[in-house]
Amino acid sequence: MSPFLEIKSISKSFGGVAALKNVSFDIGAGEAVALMGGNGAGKSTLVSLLAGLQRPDSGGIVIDGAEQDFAKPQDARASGIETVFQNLALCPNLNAPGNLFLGRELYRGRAPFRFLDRKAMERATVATLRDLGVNVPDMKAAANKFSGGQRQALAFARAARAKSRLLILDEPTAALGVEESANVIRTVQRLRRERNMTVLLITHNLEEMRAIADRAVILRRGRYVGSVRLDETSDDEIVGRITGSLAVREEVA
Amino acid sequence: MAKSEVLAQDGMAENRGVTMRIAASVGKTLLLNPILPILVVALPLFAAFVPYYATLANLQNLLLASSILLLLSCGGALAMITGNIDLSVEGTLCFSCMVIAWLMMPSPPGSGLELSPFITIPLGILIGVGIGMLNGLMVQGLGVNPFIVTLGMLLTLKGAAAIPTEATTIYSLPPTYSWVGYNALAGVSWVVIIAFTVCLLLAIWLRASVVGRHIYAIGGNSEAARENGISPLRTVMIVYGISGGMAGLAGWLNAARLDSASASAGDGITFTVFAAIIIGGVALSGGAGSLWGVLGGVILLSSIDNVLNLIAINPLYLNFVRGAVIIVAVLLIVVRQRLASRFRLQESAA
Ligand SMILES: Nc1ncnc2c1ncn2[C@@H]1O[C@H](COP(=O)(O)OP(=O)(O)OP(=O)(O)O)[C@@H](O)[C@H]1O
Ligand SMILES: [Mg+2]
Repeated sequence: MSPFLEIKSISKSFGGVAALKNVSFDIGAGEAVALMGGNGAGKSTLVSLLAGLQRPDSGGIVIDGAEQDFAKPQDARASGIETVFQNLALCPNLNAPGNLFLGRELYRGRAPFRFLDRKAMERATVATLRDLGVNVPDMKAAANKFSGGQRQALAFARAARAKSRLLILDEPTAALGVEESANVIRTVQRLRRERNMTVLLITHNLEEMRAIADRAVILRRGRYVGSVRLDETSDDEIVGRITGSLAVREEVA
Repeated sequence: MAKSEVLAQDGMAENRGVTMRIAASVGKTLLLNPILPILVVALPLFAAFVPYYATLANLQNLLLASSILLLLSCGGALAMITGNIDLSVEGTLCFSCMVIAWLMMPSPPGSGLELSPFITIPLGILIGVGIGMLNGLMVQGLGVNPFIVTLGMLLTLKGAAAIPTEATTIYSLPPTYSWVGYNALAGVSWVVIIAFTVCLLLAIWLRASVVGRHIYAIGGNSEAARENGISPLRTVMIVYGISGGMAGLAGWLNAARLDSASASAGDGITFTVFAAIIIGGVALSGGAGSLWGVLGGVILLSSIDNVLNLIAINPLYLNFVRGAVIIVAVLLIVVRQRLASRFRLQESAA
């Protein structure tokens, strides 16, 4: 079976800082992979490339065997990649439908006279939120009236809504309480079960990693360090690989 | 129930739905628009206590005096809603009408080209659009502070406006060009009709269009908008382009009304423009406000000037009173907003 997503020797640097150095790995269809690494390892940079926010300096992204060139976020979405960004990417002044359809508003008419189809967006929002079991205080309320958990749920609903095939979650529970975190984890598990969703999870939380992912890919200072099956690997080993202590020992040995 | 009855009821329900929606939106506007309560109190007071305020002739005056301010304020408000600022509109007004007058008029003081008004009127608006897009490019494309960019543009344009005619005023513009300033439809000057129609259409477009939504999104969180595939550069350039185009249009209407073009056209209107925008409820931080509010702000400020005129206040006090009134109005609005947010009356921008 050919993998759903192939990341092929991707490099990306910012000025003098090399955020990603020749990184390659695959994700199979329906697989959940945790991308692990310390602060500044390059995880969010990789996410931004997969989400079409910027282009790699070299290397490529292959989906279902086809080379991709994401020039803008719409291109990534068109390929079925949906992202929950580390910062959630919500507009505080827009309501739930406004945020759910941000940048892909439903409309009538032609450019430059595309007029919002508010009704349709509201209906779709109600359906999506109900489907994901997300509670939002008031459909008309701006997102700055939402609690942290509700905001997270909204950003999550946006990514899980559409016909997304790969769901990227960048530290989805970092800002959440225990209960909200458990809720996010349950929802991801359910999406995997029900829709065979492929997941790329970024987290610093080993418990969360184990609850969601089958496999961990480890980055350190922009380099691919390795990939481990979680059912065969201890937490200590993963931490060791993230920090580099283990790899150094291996190299010495 | 017979089928036709059901249909009739459906039709009625739909009608009632529409009425309800209109009523609800009027109610919402009343509650959420900071300027409305002030207008609702102030305008009847003016009408009751200021002689001639509520006469037809004065109303015509008032609308005419509001037109230029309205065009500039609506454009400036768009820029402010994206979280930027456009201080250059007065300069654009002045520069575009001066260049146009120079192109239309025999030499001297004109260029001698004597271009037709059918060319120069659209050209004046396009000059404004071009200036605006240049502003947008510098602000969003190059990341220069919008305050500096547009303030610099204001000075540059006001200076440049004086160059072609060496600061002489051009009188007696071609009649075709000035026609809108001297003709009316049912007693309403074409200047008023054009300015208000354009601003009303723009207000609807801002609320209802996809680009309008993007304008609010960028003002709310530009990074989030970008991450969701909205181009801040494109949107901000559109906004500044519209603002410049409105100023170019205002340049024409203003020159037509006065039948003259001068390098001092619009002098000092910048302050009033920003007072109208802020009194109209547009947040300085961006992401909130509507052109309906700005319209209210324009009406209030024009009324104040109009009233000061009518009661023949000593011109010595004019700016003092004007400034003080604006500060009081802004204070009232801030208090109202505090109260509204305490009662959770705030709502999403779009
Ligand atoms: N837009 C940018 N401009 C300059 N440097 C950047 C930019 N984005 C990332 N970097 C740098 O690239 C490196 C990788 O950053 P990245 O955000 O990908 O790390 P991360 O693995 O997501 O870390 P964290 O766990 O803290 O979120 C860091 O050194 C960071 O400073
Ligand atoms: Mg990160």
